[in-house]
This record gives sequence, C-alpha cells and structure tokens, in this order.
Amino acid sequence: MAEIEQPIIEATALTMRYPGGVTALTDLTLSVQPGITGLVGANGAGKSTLIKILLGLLTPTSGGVRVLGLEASERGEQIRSRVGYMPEHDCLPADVTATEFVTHLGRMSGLPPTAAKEQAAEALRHVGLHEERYRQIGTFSTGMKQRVKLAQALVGDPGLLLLDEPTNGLDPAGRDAMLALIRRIGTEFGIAVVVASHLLSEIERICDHLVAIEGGKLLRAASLVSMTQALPWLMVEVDEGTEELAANLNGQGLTVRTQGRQLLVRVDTDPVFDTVRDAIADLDLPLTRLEHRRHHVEELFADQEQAEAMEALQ
Amino acid sequence: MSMNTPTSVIHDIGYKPYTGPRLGRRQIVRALYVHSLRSVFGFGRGAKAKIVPFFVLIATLVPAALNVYMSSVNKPLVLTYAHMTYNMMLFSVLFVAAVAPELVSRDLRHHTLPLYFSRPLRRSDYPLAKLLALFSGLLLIEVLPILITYIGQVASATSGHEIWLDTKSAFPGVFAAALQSAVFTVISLLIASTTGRRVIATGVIAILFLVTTAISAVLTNVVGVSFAQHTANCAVPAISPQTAQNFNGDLFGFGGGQNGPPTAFVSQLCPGVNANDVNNIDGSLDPNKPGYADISVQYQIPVYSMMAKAGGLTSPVRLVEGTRIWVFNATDGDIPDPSPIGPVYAAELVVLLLAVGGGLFLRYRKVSVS
Repeated sequence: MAEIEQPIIEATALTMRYPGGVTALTDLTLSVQPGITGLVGANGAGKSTLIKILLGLLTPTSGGVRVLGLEASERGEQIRSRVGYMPEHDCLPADVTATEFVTHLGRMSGLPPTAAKEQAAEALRHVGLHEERYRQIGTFSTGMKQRVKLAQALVGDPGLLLLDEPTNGLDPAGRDAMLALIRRIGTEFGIAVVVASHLLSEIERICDHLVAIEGGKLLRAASLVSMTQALPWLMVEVDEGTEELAANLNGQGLTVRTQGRQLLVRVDTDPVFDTVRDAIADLDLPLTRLEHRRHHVEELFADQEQAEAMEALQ
Repeated sequence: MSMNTPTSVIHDIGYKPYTGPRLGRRQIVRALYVHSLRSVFGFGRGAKAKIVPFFVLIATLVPAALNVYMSSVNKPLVLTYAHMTYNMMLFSVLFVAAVAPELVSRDLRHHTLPLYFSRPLRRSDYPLAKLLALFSGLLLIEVLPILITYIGQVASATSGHEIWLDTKSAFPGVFAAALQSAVFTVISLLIASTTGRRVIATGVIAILFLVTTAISAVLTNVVGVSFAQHTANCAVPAISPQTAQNFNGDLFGFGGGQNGPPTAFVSQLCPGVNANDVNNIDGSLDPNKPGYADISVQYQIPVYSMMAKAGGLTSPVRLVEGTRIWVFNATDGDIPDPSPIGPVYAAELVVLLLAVGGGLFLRYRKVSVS
C-alpha cells in the first residue's frame, strides 16, 4: 500500500563534500515512503548531513533532494515549515516552562499566536507532558526533556518528522516509552517519520522501512517486512564445539553462518529444528540458547563490511 | 438520591491535524522581534531579568523629572537635550551589558539555534530580529527622558516661538540617542553572540565601553591638552565688605584685591572668561565710576592638540558625541570640538556600524547547526 503513494523523500545522486575536503555523502540515491523509516548508520556515516540537506540547511555539492514533493535547494523555507526536526543534542533552555518554549517555537513555525498556544498544549499532551507543562524545563528528567524536544518538532502538525537519535541518553524504560510514542505518531497521527539512529536493534522494532548508510553511501534500503520475511533464521548457541556443530549442520545441507559465538541456521526447509536438535544431541554439546529470530536485520548488513560495521550498528 | 451520576468522562480525542492558517517568513521574523523585545525588558522571563532594564529606565527618568520641575519654575534644565545621551552613557552600558547576552547568549548556551534554523527563518533573520529588538529597547530608554523633558518644556512654554526653539534643540538629542543606540546595539550583540556564557559577555561588553572611554579621556584630558594664558580687563560692580558681610577681605578669589566678585561669577560678569580656569584676579575700586571695581583676570583656555581631538576616535561613546558636535556645529560639547576632523568621526561611526553589524550577520551565517 505504502509503495503506491508518492515518496516523502527522494534523493538523487546526492554528493556532499565539505569545503575542508571531507566527503560526507557519495552518490546517494534513495527514496523514503510514508510511514516510519529508520535511517541507520554508524556515527559519521552521513546521517546528520543528510538531515541538514533535507531541511535545506546545506546545499549538496551535486545531486538533488525532494522533500514532500518540494525541491530542497529552492524551497527550503516551505519544506522547513512542514518538517519537524528533533536534534540529537540537548537544545532546551532551562529557565522557561515547557509550554512557553513549545509555544514560542510554534510561532517560529508560522502558527498565529492563539493557534501556537493550542498546538503547544496539544503537542505536550501527545508526548505525555500535559501535567508538567507549566514546569520549568530545567527541572525535567532526561526522559521528559526528550519528550519536550519531540513536542517542539510535533507542534504545528508537520508532514514529516526528522528525529535524530531520539532515544539518546534514555534508560531502557524511557527508550521503550519513546519508541512507543514514535510508533504511535507514525501510525495513528499519520505523520511520516524518519528516525536516525546508530542502534539498529532499537529502531527495527518500530520501523516500516529501513535505510542503512555507511560512509556516505547507501548500504541497503527496503521495507522491514520484506527484509525479515525473506530471511527466517534460527540462532543456536552452544558453550563449546561451535565449529563441530557448524560443520555437522553444513554436512546435512543446511545454510549456516557463524556470528561470534552464535550460529545462524537458515530455516528454509521443514525439518530444520529437528535436524539441529538431533545434531546437538549426537555431538553431546551443552546447548545454551536456541532462538527463532524474527528480527535479525543485522545479518542484512553483515554481508558487507562484516565485523566493524556490525559493532557500530549494535 | 442517586449517587452514580458520572461527574466526568475521559475522552481520548486523539490527534487532530492543524488546518488553520500558517504565517509566512516575514511574519515569523516579526514574531521573533516582538518576543525578543519583550525579553529585552524581561517580560516572559523571570523577575531577575527585569531588575536591570527597569533600574535603568527609572534612573534615566530622574533627570527627566528634574527637568520638568525646572521648566515649571522657569529655570535652566539640569541636563539639556543634547547632553542627555552622553551623560547618561553609563546607564546605557549597563543596559546593553545585561540585555544583549540575554538575547543571544542564551540560545548559544542551550544550543537552541538549530531549532530556529530548522524552521522557515533564514540565517540572517535571526540577527536582524535581535538587532531591531535591542535597538528599539535601548532607543526607548534613551529617548524617553528627552521626550519627557520636551513635554515639560512645551507645557510651560509661553509662546509658539519658544516651542519651536525647544523642538530645534531637542533634535540633536534625539539624533545622538539614535546613533548611540545603534552603536551600542551592534557592538554588544556581536560580543554576546561569540559566547554562550552570559557573565563573560556582560563583563566584556561593560569593559569594552568603559575602557575605550577611559583611554579616550586620557588622550584628551591628560596627554593632548595644554593651556594658553589670557588676561582680561573689565569693570564689575563692586561689593562693599560692609554690605556683604560674608565676603570680607579676600573677595577676589585668589587674594589679589578687594571688593571684587567671587571667582565663580567672573565668567558671567566678564565676557569671554572661563571661570573654571581662572588663575588670578587683581583690581581696585574704579576711581571714576562709583560702585564699580576695575579688575584684571588671568585665566587659562585649554588648547587641544590633534591627539586630543583624535582621542575621541578610540571610544564609541565619544565617537557619537563628536559626530553630534560636527553635524550640528555645536559649541556645548562634552568633549573637545573635533574640528577639523569631524568628518573622520562621522566616517568612523558609519564604518563601525557597518562592519560590526555585518560581522554579526556573518557570525550567524557561519554558526553550526548540528
């Protein structure tokens, strides 16, 4: 369904070279559909540069970008009035209340005074800060501050949200809450969301699509459903004899890949589970984990740069 | 009696897309200007932010109030229009030192700028709104005492001609206030925009204005001044020690004679004498003119060297005053008449405004938005 709609973001042969000679993006072509899109890449992969180009804040060296159907290099102003941006770093003044802050930024997005107040109250309610909206931001916890950052991006009903590392600095519970909130914004509110993150394991939980960039190049872009459905894997972990087991399973005609201390066995034929069980029993190995991995997008990227990239992504 | 009537119901009204109007960039800049102007006076900020602006506002109203009183009793103003800006300079320094960091350093410190620049505003819109806000705030502070004095003068004027003369003399005051507000605004905002630490910005702004003014004062009053001796002879009404008991014996300030006027009145009685620099008064009763004394006054006139005249070029405050003296050909200057280098004062002022103002815009063009 999503594939039929017009893409939210279209980048064509995008190259960005900074004056200092640093090349941030190289010939990047991608298109982002409505829904929630994860933009994955290690630090320095070019995520922030891409976001700045999308906002029309940077002009690419070559290539073009269209955001919400508008050419970024020419219509940056209009794009910015319809795009909400949540920066990675702390960007909140301590000595104003959440309401004042979000209202002011609503005004800066082009809302008339009364509408800005209403929309700020709405945005703060949606991120769950309704009760605390008259408190000074300086008294907020990290989780609440992240929510204020999200609220200021949300104010004024943007057509697209660009979230840069929204779970930065949050504890596990805070991460879950933030991810659930983003999921809700993407599905119930009908706002297209691009979530940039270096934590693949995290954003794959909420994304419809994934775009992975690495060293300024597109690594892979696909819908998450197609990625995971195409590759069902069984993860096996034994305390010892990993190589023996791998050889044994390979011998029985299964596709086996080693990933650290774990073995990934492709579930493409029916008796895979039985075969694995029997093999472990035959070899008398101490089995510690056997897990049917539905989400294991990491493997998609493991093909390319293997270990280094893997570490960065996790 | 029914106890189970629901008193409140919670509805999840969900997400409502905004369908109202969206304002253009120009109106957004105006909104930022109004917001900044409010924070110049501490509105929308805590009580602490209001202390300095309102202290300065009240302080500048003191001479204005005295002026209104003086005009109501038909006496000369305590501070003339043209002298207002220069003499109240310290309050303006205090004002910009406190307010400019409030306007721009906060956004740097809290890294709020990316939020502005990811919205429709252009890079130049932000410094533009801030410049206009601080300029209008400071101009208000500087023009208000002039305006109040003017109203007081007009209210106690007896003829239309008096009002006209008053309007004419108020104009240089407004001119100087506008120039000083502009110079103070660009300089203090540029300094404040280089650091997110408010205390440092405040300190540097205050020190810059005070030190440059001090340097310029040293150049003018210590290094660049010499005195020319003059003697003037004139006949003044004599005072008899018998009728004026308080003035016995040494009436002539420096002990040279008797029955003459006190030093402070010499300049009023003898045309051309600068009483402040009177060295010696000598004289005796006029034998031909009863009731008068012939006196000889030795006094000094300061002669300013070119260095003294150029001294004002080192200080933004004196730059404004010198430009005022040159433009209006004023003789009531608080600093030496810059003539013949008056045009240099004006030119430096214009260059300063353009360069520092341009620097501010450049600063925000380059500021990183990460």
